Amino acid sequence: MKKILSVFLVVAMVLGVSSIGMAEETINITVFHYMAQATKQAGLEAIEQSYSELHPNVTFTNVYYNQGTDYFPQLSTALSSGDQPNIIMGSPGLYPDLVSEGFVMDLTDNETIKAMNLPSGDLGDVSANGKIYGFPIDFKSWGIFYNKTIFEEQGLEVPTTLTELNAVQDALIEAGIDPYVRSYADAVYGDIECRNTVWTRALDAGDTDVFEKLMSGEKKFADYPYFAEALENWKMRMTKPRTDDMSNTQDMGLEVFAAGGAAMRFDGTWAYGDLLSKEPDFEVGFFVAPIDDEGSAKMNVQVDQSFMVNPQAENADVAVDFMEYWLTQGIAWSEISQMPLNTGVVSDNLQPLVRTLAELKASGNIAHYGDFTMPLSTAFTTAWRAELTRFAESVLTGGDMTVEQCIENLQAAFDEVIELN
Amino acid sequence: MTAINPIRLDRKRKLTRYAIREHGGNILFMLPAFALFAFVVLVPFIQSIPVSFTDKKAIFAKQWNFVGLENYIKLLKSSSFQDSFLHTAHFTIVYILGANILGLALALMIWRSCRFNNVIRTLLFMPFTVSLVAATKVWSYVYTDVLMPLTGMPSPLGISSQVIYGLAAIAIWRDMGYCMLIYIAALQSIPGEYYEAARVEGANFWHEFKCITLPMIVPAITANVTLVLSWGLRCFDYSQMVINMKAAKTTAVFVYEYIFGNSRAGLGQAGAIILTLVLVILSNIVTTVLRKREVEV
Repeated sequence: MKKILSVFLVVAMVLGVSSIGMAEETINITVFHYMAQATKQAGLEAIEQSYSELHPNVTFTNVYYNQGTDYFPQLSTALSSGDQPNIIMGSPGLYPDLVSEGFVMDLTDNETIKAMNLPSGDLGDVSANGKIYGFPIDFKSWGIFYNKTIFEEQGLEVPTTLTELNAVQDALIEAGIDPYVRSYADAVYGDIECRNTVWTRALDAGDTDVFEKLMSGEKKFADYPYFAEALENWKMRMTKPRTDDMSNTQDMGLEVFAAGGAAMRFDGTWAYGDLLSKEPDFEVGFFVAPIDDEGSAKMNVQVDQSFMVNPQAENADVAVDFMEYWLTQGIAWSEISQMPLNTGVVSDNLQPLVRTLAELKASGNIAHYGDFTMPLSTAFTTAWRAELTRFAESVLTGGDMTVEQCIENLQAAFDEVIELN
Repeated sequence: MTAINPIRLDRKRKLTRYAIREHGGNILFMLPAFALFAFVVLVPFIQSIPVSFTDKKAIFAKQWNFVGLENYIKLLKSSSFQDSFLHTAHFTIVYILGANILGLALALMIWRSCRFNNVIRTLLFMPFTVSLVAATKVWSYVYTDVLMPLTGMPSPLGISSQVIYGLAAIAIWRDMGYCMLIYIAALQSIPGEYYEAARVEGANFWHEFKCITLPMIVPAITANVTLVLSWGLRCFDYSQMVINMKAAKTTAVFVYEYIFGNSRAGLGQAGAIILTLVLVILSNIVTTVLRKREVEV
């Protein structure tokens, strides 16, 4: 009996020691991301910290690269050299090679995602070939941010039609105030200035495959009249150019805007946190840019922070668990980054604008990128943005490029990408 | 069967022994640097040549097909690839002229050694120690926040017709100090008697420069032009910082974009090989032409 008892005690001790060893085993999760804004990076650290408090053995390493220049090249290099990050920021539509090479996990049957009952657009933004590959954390939109103080001083109302927007611009110019400060050194700005019109019109017309057909060459830009309409609307906003419009980066433009250098700024909601961090008392409002006089404009929605899990990395189960935690308990992230969650969860610590965006999305009167059959791939996005920047430069510097010429240039650029692919 | 001449064989053996004695040390000194160069440049480049004949997509793709010369043909027909070469050539010409003319002008002003000149030389050389990306970033603020309010002119980095000049100005600012140092070394090696004799004959500054200084510093010109030419043709960082401007896209950026961003590794690699060939051929032509000038001197 003594022998049995002693053997039992030894086994229990060995198991106890080994389980202590296992419990103390540190797991490091590498997050590869392209969140440039300081507030988003702080938000990421906050959600990681809150997860680590629940799981003390899990630590995180965040690797940031600029999406426009380095992100995918660095990610590709890491993957091809066998250095496997656990969590990869991005959508499968944007990086299809990650899907085809098996670097992202199929999350179609993930119970947490299913339980969220997210709308088709949110899931569409993180899907490819009918399968879900990403966790859609939050969403972004874009439109016109305006300086409430200037608007009040000038007795201006928020415009809801193109005619009203035109009148506001004219009144500001009359008062010697720059209507806009622009940041066309960053390629995304020409793109988002056109999206309001293109996405709204395309989805209203049922052209959910517009990007897919443009990329395959089956259709031309001239086949869709709303591209020309988008350029005309944008051109109308490019009134009274500033000398820094073409050379401002996002950060430079935000600095000017926060300092009261212009009354309005077309920007993405992702910049809101950084805008407030530059000037916490800045009284800023937001409205969706009108696209006609009938009030047809809809708020554009696109999943912003989408994260994929790499099944080839170690501890993929922990990475999934962390992402599920972020998806369901992401308010810590939202409060710091001031990004509206896809789940619709809000708190008192969110700015009123962020709460309004969440409400607008919940209303369903939106144009969601995820409802298109396919997003523009990187090569086409680069071509599209480069041509839009050329158009902006021509309009702002008194050049002679017409909307029709821009459409032709866009088509030529897409034809070139198709040819090279 | 060929008969072996014992005298020639003996001479060959002696020659080999002499060569080893004479050059062995030099080769040994070069070996570590060459090994490192081979490891990080030569071997990867040779390894990547076969990729240029495939349709490989992402660099981490495990499967691809052999497509022969298709990538090369596509690129040579592509207007955006041709444009990228034109932008690269444009940038390189402005860069070579600017860095060398300004470098030489500065060298002529401060080549004599004295405490003041030494301080100025250090200050002028300092930009060379700044990273290319940092230099572009700083200059984007200089253009926007300093020059724009002073002149009322928009930043050249945002204007297609000026962006190459704007980038070349940054490159010139950064590298003219380096050129200057090489020119100073060359100027200091010219015997002063030549100038004394010329002055006795009544030569003015221009005559001295044309007939003595310029011919005597041709080796320095060869070194500077060849170096700046290769830096210019490989220009990546400056162009990458204004990626939005189509008019500033250089061949190196095109290659990078296709290999990594657009996941067309085979096509991008073919572009890299074309760029390398152009760089080698042009560098050789320039060096040969300038070396001939050295011989004539």
